[in-house]
Amino acid sequence: MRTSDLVATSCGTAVAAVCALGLFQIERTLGGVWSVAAVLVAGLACAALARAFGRLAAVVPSGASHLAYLARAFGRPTGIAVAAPYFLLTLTLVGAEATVVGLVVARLTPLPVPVGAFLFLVGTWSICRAGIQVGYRAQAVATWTLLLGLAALSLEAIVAAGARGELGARLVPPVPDVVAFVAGVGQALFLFMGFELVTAQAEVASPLTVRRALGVSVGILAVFYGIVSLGFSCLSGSPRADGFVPQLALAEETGGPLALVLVALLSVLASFTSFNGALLSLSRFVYALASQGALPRQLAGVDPTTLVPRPAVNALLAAAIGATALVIVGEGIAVSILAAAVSASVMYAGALLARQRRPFAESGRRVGPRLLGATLALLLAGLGAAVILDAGAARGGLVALLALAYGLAVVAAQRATRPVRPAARPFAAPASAHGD
Amino acid sequence: MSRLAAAAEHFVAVYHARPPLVAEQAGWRCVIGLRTTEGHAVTVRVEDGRITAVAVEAEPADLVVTADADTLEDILRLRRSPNEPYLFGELTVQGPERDFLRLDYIATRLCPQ
Repeated sequence: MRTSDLVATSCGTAVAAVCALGLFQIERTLGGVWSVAAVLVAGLACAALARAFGRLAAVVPSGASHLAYLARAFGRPTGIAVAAPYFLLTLTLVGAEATVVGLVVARLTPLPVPVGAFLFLVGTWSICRAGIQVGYRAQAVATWTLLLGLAALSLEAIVAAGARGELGARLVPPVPDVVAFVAGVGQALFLFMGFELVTAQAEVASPLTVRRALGVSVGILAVFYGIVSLGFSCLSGSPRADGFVPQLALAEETGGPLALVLVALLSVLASFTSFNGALLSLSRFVYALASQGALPRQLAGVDPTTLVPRPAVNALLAAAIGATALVIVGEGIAVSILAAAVSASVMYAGALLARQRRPFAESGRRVGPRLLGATLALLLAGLGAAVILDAGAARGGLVALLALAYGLAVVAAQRATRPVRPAARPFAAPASAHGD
Repeated sequence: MSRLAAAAEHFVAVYHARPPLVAEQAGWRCVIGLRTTEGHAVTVRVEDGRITAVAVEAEPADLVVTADADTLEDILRLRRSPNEPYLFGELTVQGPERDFLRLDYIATRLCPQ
């Protein structure tokens, strides 16, 4: 597998339709160059993380990625308790993603938001259940078209603001307070969330390719989000309170109806690849946990032809529909984004600390890099705390969602690590081998 | 014969004693390398879903499964599901995901719950 394929996969996983909402939220809080600064600081942290994840994937090249790294460094219970909420809250994020798709569809068709969201979930589920995987090349084309298209529209918005003589006012707003900026950096981490999942490809790619792809992806994402954030700053219209989708507003204002349709289609396609990838990877995670007894064993089935763990995929669809209903009824898009940001902070801090421990730390590693890694881990955990502190009206829901996710993870950790009863004796087998 | 090779032979025997399971894998062709972190190696050749050879040496393989000797032996003797060590990074795989999923499916079906 080539570096470019992995970079596209990494960027495609990180950039989902809901990211535009997250970025817009940061831009509205900090504004202009300050939101770009928040994105760049988060990008710098992710660049350090990219190096750490590159090392983790080189030592333990496992498709189980995060769980495998944390379990090897800290033991199984800690591994599950930290990694499982990250995956669980990814699923909650699917609810937000489906809602955004519903909003996009509703913008172009007469379909109500819940119907569009439901069709998106069921359509993606049926494709995944059939064992159809999106090819790397198709995914790459969709990802690059979306990134380049949105970046071009953003640049156009910036040029238009310059022509109106508003550039200075738009890009250099008053300095935000420190807590708001730190919380903005924490939220910006959410925009990169998932870039490191490409480490799961270490089974089919060389460690060097994975490491390169991680670094390049962070650079591309930081530049992309920076440009789009500036584009949002330069939008002349003010957002409507209900059903506002910033990427569509950007397309409509700068490119007209054709750009609107194109961005809408690409946005839905990006959501499809994200949810399809999440279904594929999370279903195997659920299947593996179920086969260990950490989750109900009924979820441990695999279809012999497609090798898709269908009971797990079905359960994930049910969970995604539930999460979407909660997001739509409870207006929980902000809560799910913030919860994902907090779990990403904790997960990333854990990964940096894992990098300092056996089997990942090189013998004789210098004190400087070790201290730097530990400090960055502490800062990341602090960013997570800042997101909670700065959550405003969403704080109650955020804390409840985090308590649920981490509570479930602790229960799963206990179930997975309790003493296993001795296996029954396998049925008698003939003594000779090879079956001849 | 090494412990790993003996365990591999045991796995092959149990697998071939389940004709419906073997039939499900019709068309599957793969060379599987089993490597222990202690340096032992066994290579298993699969043709049309049946295991046709077990060699006690490291040959070029489509799929390489690596773990410590105890873990690999436990899996091959069906005392442990491969999922558990895989999930926690104690067993790693290099090669096409589809081949690993098929091998995992077979091992999980054979392993008593």
